[in-house]
Amino acid sequence: MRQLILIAILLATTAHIFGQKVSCTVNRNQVGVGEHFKITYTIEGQAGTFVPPAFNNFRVLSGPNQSQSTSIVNGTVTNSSTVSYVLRPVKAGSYTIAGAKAQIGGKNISSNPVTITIVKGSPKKAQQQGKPKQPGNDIKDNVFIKLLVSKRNSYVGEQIIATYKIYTRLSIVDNAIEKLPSFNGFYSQDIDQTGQGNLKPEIVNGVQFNTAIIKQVVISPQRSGDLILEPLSMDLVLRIQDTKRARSVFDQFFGSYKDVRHKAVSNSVTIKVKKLPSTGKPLSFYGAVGVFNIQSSIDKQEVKTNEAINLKIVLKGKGSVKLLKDPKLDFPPDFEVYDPKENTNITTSAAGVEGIKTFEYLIIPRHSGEFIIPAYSFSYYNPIRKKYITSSTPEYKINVLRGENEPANASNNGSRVVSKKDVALIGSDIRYIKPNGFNLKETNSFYLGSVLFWILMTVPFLVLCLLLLVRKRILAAQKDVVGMRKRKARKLASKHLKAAEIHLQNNESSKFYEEVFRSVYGFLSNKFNIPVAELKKERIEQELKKIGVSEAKIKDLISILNACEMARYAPVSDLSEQQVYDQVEGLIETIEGGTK
Amino acid sequence: MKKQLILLLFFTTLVLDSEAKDNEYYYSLALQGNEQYTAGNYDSALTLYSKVVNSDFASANLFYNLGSTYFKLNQLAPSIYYLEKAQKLAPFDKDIAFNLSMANDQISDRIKDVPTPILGKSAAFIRNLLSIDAWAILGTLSFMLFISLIGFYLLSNSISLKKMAFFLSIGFLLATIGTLTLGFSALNYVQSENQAIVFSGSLSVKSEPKQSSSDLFIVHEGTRVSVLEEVNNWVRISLPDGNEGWAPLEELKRY
Repeated sequence: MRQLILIAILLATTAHIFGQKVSCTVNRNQVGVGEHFKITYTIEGQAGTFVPPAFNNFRVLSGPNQSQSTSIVNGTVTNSSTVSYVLRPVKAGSYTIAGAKAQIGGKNISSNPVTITIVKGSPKKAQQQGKPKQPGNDIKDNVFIKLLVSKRNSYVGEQIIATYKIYTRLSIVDNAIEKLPSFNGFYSQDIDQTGQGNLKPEIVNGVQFNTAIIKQVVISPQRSGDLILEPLSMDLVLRIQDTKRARSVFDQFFGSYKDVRHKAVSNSVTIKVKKLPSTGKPLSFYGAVGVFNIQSSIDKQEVKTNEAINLKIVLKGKGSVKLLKDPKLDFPPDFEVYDPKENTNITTSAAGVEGIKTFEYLIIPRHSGEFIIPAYSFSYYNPIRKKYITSSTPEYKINVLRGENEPANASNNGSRVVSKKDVALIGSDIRYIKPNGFNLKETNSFYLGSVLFWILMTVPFLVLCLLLLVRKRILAAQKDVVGMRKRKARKLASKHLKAAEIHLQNNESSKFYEEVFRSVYGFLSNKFNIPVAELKKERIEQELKKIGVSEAKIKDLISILNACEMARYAPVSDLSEQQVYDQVEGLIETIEGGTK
Repeated sequence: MKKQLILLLFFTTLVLDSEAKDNEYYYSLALQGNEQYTAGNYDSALTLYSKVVNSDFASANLFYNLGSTYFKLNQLAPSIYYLEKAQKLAPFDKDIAFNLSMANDQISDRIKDVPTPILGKSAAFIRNLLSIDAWAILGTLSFMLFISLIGFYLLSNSISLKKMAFFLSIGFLLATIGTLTLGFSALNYVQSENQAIVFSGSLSVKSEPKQSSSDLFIVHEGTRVSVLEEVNNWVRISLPDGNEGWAPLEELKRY
């Protein structure tokens, strides 16, 4: 409550002050020593006491000269009074005349101070001493166009208000805009100037000018960097006092004038445009800069199939409302969604661009079930708070019931024909990565061509060669075994014979014949490399003939062998054991000689 | 002698062991990369995969994952580069082929593909049926069989067995030659790096290997070209449609 009262009081006082003020103007602020100028205090409102400042360094030539005026416009009474002095500076330099104090309605109000520059000699003379007089220079001081911007540093997309304003102290007879600036790199929207064409007084450096806004635009830079706002130029026809041409009496009395053509060009302004910060930039940011607000509403959340739903999204804000694109909502793919109906209401004023953009979606669910219209996030950059802000609409759950004419999925009579549709591809994306199975191998290390490969290729070859070599050796060795046996045949035979001789001395007849038999057979088997089992008498005859043993000797051998076989079973009479022994010894000698 | 042999054995096992450990480490890196990819952190997935690839460990699946990550990061040229590398190692993988075609759809150049002759195509098809090392192992095995059959032929006594061994051995000799030819041609294909991907945004192809020569045509990021020769850091490239010209090597990446 106390706060409310405070606010009320504050409001009342400000309203009071608005109507009551003291302002100070001079007719020029560059004066030569010895020249004079006029300083005027305008008091708006019912004036009480007025205390002029001390005019140090100035001599008051005349004044205070007072005048009062009262005007009634639409029943509003405005009182104003002026107090003016004519002053002459004493010495050169720059001086500030402090503000005058006035008491209006019981309140002390001071006016603005004014700075005056005093030049040695008259400024006109100084000009004449230098270059030839340029009348344009004079006009330039009195008529000029200024480009005013609301800010010189901005972010991309931020709104800036640029105003081209003309200031004049002369009367303008005719004007035409010669060149309008092109706002390169900006998105610009003109602010409507109708009804603002009136001249407004404004004090610049204490000098009163009449001003008018020529052009006012809301611009938002579209790229970063130093962007230049081009000047605006205007062709003016000015009416100025002509003192030289005062010839007639009338002229001298009323003053003569001449019309002068003048081209006024405004200044240009460079605006430093910063990129929007990349840190914290949300995914749903599409370049909106300003202050926004998003709201959404839906008319029903439980519908039957093929019934329409209306979803409304309202974007409200200050900033580039016109450039806002329709929100990309992820509707369930089974919904039929029509392009949104767009409604834009934008006002462009000296406060910037403000507006509301409404999107109305008509949604028709074609299939029953529970669906979710996901939340839509809208992000913007707030240049005042210097951060990204995301606001979202709520998520809507839609329950779609089966309509009366809608066929159920499970057919109740079994003969329904369901129209089939292809599976619709909703989007396309690359396939998911491989979760595992990285059969990691060193790149450029292959088994093929490696040392191991060549080893494995050579080793079998070497093994084969080795095998063949070994075989050859074995064969050779085998051959040698035969030779050995042949060579040892005699030895073995005589060994058996020796045993036989012992048996002979001991009169063991059957054992004697057995040893003899073994001795002969063993000898022959070794000699001809034939196993004992295969050694038949016919074979023996053949082999012996081959090595050229005489028929008689062969017969002797056969008879001995026969005798040996006989002696195993019965005692032998026709040949004495001693004879057999001697014969065998002789025969072995002969065969040994024959084979050699 | 025995001591030396034992030492040699010891060192080989040591080397093999450390290699296995490396392999395990990089495998875990790749798995971490997968996790990051699934979480949507493509940047960190990229770092992890790249670590593995830069350490000279690779596989078709790894290249595929890396290429897919680059695709997600909208880096077309490296994406195509790694997917092509993956396809080179695993020519019949459907996922690789799909993602590669997705990436190739993004290329701004449409170059008419001149169809490869059927002979070359089928040769490439057969060559790509097995991996290089599979061909090599087959070759080694059939060579071993050939040698043992020759041995059998030489050592056997039975004439009918000898005959059979002889014909079989000729069959295995042919098999050895065939598989090793395919293996070496595949090895040559993988190691030759006779393909390249354009990495710069737009590349003007010159008539001669110097900057001042006249421009012939312009190709854009992600386009695949064949490399014909290399001279002083310039490569002679040819497009699938038969156009040829010279380009600076650093604008391309060979694979």
